Amino acid sequence: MKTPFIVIDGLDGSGKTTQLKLLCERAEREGKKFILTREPGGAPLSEALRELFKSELGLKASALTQLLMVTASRRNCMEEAVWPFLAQGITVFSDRCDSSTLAYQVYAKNAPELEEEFWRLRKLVFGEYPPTTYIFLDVLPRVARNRVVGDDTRGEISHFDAAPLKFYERVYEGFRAFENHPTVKMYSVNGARCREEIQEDIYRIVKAECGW
Amino acid sequence: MKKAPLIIIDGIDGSGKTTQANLLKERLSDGQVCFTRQPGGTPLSEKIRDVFSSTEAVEASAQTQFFLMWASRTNWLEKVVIPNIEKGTPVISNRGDSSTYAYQVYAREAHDLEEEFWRIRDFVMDKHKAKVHIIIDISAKEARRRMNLDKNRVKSLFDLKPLDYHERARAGFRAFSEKLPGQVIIVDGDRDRVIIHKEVYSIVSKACGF
Repeated sequence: MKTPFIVIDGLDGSGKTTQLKLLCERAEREGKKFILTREPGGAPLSEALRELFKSELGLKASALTQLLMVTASRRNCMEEAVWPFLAQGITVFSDRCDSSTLAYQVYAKNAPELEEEFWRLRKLVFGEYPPTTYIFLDVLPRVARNRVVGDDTRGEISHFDAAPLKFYERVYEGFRAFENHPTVKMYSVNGARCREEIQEDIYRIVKAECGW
Repeated sequence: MKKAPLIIIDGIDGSGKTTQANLLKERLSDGQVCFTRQPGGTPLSEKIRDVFSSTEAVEASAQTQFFLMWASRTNWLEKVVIPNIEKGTPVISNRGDSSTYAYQVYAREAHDLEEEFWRIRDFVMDKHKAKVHIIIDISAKEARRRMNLDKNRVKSLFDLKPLDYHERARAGFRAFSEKLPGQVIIVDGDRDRVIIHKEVYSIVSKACGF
């Protein structure tokens, strides 16, 4: 069996961070071996690129520039923060990954001409080790946006948090397109429930995928 | 308005690229030509250049560096090259895609990137490729000797790489020229700067139609 490499992804406001925290706490309590990384980021160079990516200059860059920036960051993250662990048989969880790239850089930025390029770069960047499983926290765009806008405890105003609803809708459509790709195994988890119920579903999927 | 050319001046570290770019700057008036550099040339791309000079980036894989250079290049094409050449102003750049080929594919010996290099170059640069690449050719040993003589030079982490790394980059520039017959001119860099400048200037003025 390939060592599990599991991505948790979803819209801003879908509850990813909360769910990842719950997932890691429970896995730790049960004595499971895993590491958690995030994208963009996860290693010193890719964290520097994350910072640049989230700066005003990065946010204003074209879809293609952003696509190539996150691709560089992703390759570095794979080499430094993912592959060495997979090689030792250690499960890797990632907060976002290439699913976000399709959703944000191709769909949300209205760049359908980059879709083919996205899949091509994806092959190149992951080589033989693409994520084995994706878990999509399914929350409707309107709900996700309301959560983000209404929550002033959010420290990091991420990505395009304050963006109009139309933007959230395009991101959502991007995740759906990703899910429908034949090479991808993605589970959708209904994120419009209480956090414990959502976590139950996520943990069940993770357990099955990891053979725990 | 007739589209103006993009001209790339390239070569290994210490080959005299920057000296030659400066000699061109002295001779050509501002506004007549746009001078730029790679990586860099735009605010975002300059930030990428800073990141690229860090220890983590210098030690990163050829693949990571490769994508990073194309990200920087895309931004530079969109913000500097295309707007200028489309309004008829020639663009002269210190380094360009020839460097990515020489360093990431050859110096780093990542020959699995060869095919991807030509593919992504077509995709990103499309109809905005350089009209001419001027490669200042010099041995790595002579380039090193010159860099050591230049007391003002702040050595980059790339400058400190072993001679065979730079020698492989030189071979990469030659291979690049073989792939693009007629679009790359190799200039002997082991001569007096004024003589080299004459040759460089004549290539530039011909390409720009001065």
